[in-house]
Amino acid sequence: MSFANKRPGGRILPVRRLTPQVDPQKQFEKLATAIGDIYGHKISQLSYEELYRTGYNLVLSKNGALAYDGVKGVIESHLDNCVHKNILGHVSALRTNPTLSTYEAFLWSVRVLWSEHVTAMLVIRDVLMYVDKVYVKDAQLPAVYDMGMNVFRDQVLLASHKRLCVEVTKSVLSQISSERRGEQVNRSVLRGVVDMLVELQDTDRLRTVYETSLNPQLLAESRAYYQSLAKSRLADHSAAAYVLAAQADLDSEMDRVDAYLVPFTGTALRSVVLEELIDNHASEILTIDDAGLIELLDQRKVEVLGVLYNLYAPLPKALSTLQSRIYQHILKTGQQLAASLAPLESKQEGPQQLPESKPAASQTLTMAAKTTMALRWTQDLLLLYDIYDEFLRKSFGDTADMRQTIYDAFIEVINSNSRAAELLSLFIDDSLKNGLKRKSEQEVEHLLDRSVLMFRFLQNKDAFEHYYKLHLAKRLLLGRSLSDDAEQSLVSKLKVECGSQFTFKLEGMFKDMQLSADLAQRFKDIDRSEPLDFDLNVSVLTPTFWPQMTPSISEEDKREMNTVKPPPGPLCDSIEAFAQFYLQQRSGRRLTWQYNMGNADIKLQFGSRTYELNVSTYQMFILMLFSADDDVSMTAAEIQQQTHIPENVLARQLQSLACGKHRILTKSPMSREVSSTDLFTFNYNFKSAQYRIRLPMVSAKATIETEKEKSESMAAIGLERQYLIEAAIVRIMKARKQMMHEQLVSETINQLSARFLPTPKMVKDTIGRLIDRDYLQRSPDDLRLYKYLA
Amino acid sequence: MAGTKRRAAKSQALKPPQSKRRTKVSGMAADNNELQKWFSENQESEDGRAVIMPEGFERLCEALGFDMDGIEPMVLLWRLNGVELGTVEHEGWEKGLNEMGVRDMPGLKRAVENTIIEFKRNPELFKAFYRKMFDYLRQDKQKSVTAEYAVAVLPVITSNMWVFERFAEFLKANEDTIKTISRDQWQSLLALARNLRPDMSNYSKDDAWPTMFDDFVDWATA
Repeated sequence: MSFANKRPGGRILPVRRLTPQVDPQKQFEKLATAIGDIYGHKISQLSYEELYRTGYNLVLSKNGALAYDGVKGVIESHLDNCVHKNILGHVSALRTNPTLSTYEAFLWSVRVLWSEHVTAMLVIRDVLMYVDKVYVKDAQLPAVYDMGMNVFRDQVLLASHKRLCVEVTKSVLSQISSERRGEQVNRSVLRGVVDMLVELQDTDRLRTVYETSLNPQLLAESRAYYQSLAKSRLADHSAAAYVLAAQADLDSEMDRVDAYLVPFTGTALRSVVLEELIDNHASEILTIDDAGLIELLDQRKVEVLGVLYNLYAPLPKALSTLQSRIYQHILKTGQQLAASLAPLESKQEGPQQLPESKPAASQTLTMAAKTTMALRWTQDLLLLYDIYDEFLRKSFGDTADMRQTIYDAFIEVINSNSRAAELLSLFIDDSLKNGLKRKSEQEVEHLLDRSVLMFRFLQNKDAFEHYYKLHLAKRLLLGRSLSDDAEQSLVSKLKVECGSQFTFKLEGMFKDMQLSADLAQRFKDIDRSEPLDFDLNVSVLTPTFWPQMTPSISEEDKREMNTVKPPPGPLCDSIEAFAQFYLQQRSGRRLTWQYNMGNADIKLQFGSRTYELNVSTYQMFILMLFSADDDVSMTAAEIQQQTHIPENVLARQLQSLACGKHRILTKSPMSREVSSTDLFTFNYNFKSAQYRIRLPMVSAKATIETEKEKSESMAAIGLERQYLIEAAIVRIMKARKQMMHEQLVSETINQLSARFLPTPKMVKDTIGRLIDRDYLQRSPDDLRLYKYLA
Repeated sequence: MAGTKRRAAKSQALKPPQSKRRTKVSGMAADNNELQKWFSENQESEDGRAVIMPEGFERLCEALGFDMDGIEPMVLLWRLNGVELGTVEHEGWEKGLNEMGVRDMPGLKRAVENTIIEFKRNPELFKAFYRKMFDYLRQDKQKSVTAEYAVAVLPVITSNMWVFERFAEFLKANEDTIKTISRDQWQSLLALARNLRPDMSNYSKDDAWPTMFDDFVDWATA
């Protein structure tokens, strides 16, 4: 196009008056020819100004229609020609021989025509700008460019006898199919064709041809493709393979969309793939025989699980299927762990034996073995949790609802073990005494955090407190804790979990120990005429904090124990002195000596040999009786009289001294049973390889409870619970004055749930008792309404 | 209704505790009313008050033709505002007779029988009687009634309503573990009887029934 005729300065020529002599038809001929040239790439020969003027004149002479319709006609026949010349050949080639290359050639021809047409239309639009400005507006017709588009659509694609639109769609889909099969296709042709379809508006003027013809068919075919792909894969793929393949498919589809399709197709396609490959088979995939979800979990395939999770996550139904299967599997694994504990529940028990004596050759397990088993359970549980925690972080994106699924499963596992509270406390006890050795600070923190997490899952928190106090008391009194820091850290973590009310007593126990240490120091520092040749360490305990450590002792025996006194001598004097010292500091208090809970390190001389023994305080008192003379021998009865230690307690102490691995005393007769006439003497022939010996009486090893101890614990806890339920109900009713049954039950359970879960029956029972005791009454009008009786 | 054990239990109940002293006192000021006459002939003195004691009460029942095993004696006791089983004070006697509007034996008999008929039509009336029975069956200082008494009495006073019969069987079957019935349980039992379907399908443990009823339903539907 030459602008040679344009005057410098760019002045617009004045309007020339049209003369009737200028023939519109001739004018139009000019345009028509020009259009032919435009299509024929002969633009440089044309004068833009002249053509523009032609159009302009035609419009002014009221021949706009001639121009518009005429041009339209020209374009139509031109396109028609081109189709016949350049395209139909490919169509028939296609129909006889549908291969990758014939499809491609066809598409290519369409694409070429299209881009030429677009280029031409841009020029034509410029030329007929005046037509657009004036005529089109008045006649309410599509603008010239749009008209050109519509013509292309109608002549090339939709002309029914040629069915080109159908062929185009078919071709594109076949290319896609080929690409899916792994063949290489010409993506730029496809890009061009898709651009064309996107540009062309369909006849309804609401959507593009892409949206009406290609997109729906693409989605439908894709759906069918993936549907059958899913079936065939399920027949022979493992879950891992299936899932990885699905992810690969998804990736390649998205890649295709980016390359030559349209974004909204991408979203729809993604849903189709996920739906057909995953959602419709969510459960099947997970349950593939020997190669499903369970195997992935057991074999810790973290990455594959990550892929799987990402595929399932956007699909609500599939996700919940996944979650419920994971939940079930954790439960099952938990059940297997619990099954390994079955021997613990056997009603038979190994004979009550001192841990270091030879185990009787019986089928049942010793307490030590049972304890080891119990510890193993907790350890295994923590390991299991670690595994799932790893999954959570690395495979499941650390999402809240996956976390909740795992939590829920562990809650179920822990609480289905009726001894969980005891076992957890036992485990912590063992850790604080042995397990923390050789662990770094981080590992220690990790262990404690996990333990506290298990505690959070535990329902019977009050039972845990009961056991924890028992174990803690033993640790504190016998000085067996490995790390004070760890102890304190754990208690403060428990406090965070449960509030200070829960840890109040535990902290009290620690305080008592601290104060006792201070006192001991000050007592030691007192000026004395004769320094003591032994160390007296008194732990002063506040009863409210400390647990009942000897529940299985009768009231009678307890009273007798309170009369036990140390044998006269420096020890006794020292004890007296301490008592005085203490009462001076804190008047108005009463000290009750619990010699049954103490232990002593003593040096004993056997002939020429000296040994250091760690014995219980009672045993020390007993041994002191023998120290006066070389030849002392006493009957059990005499020992009992002198020490006031109750008979059955004394029997065990004597057994430990005379019948165990280390025989400090000799007993005649040599039987294990202790009767009051048995004679005891000091065993001067005692020999041992070790210098320092600890008698088993003082074993600090917490063991799992015996059946008897368990039922006592249960009773104590049960009693406490009844009391708590009563208090809660009274508190609630006092505040609300009256309440319906259902509400009262659920309020009560709610208030107590932080410590334990009362059953509705327990609450109902308690309500009944409170009615009997006239705290509550039923309303005469409605039996379900309770009223508070002030 | 020849339950010998029941009868034994009942007559045991009707026997006054040993410690009370009784002396026959005659010649109190009497009406020419047949019933007042009867009272003064049969009364005894108890801590200065004029009362009819269990043996006297039994004679009254015989005179009225009431079977001691039946419900009539208890309804009679109630209408006479009895203070304990088989024990009626003069004040209560007068009041009761006035309320019933009777002056002679046949009238009294009719009044009692009418009351029993009235129970069917008037649930509130029955409820009052039923509740009072709990107090009669208590051994004064106890807050509860023994299961043994409950077993004996419940079917009778409820004219063998099926729930009470079944419940009595339940108590019998669990006599080792269930020893007493509390007031709340007693009272709720009536509500249960009025409420419960024959197959017990409308019973729910989440409702406000006493927990003993949970066990009862479990036992009955096992």
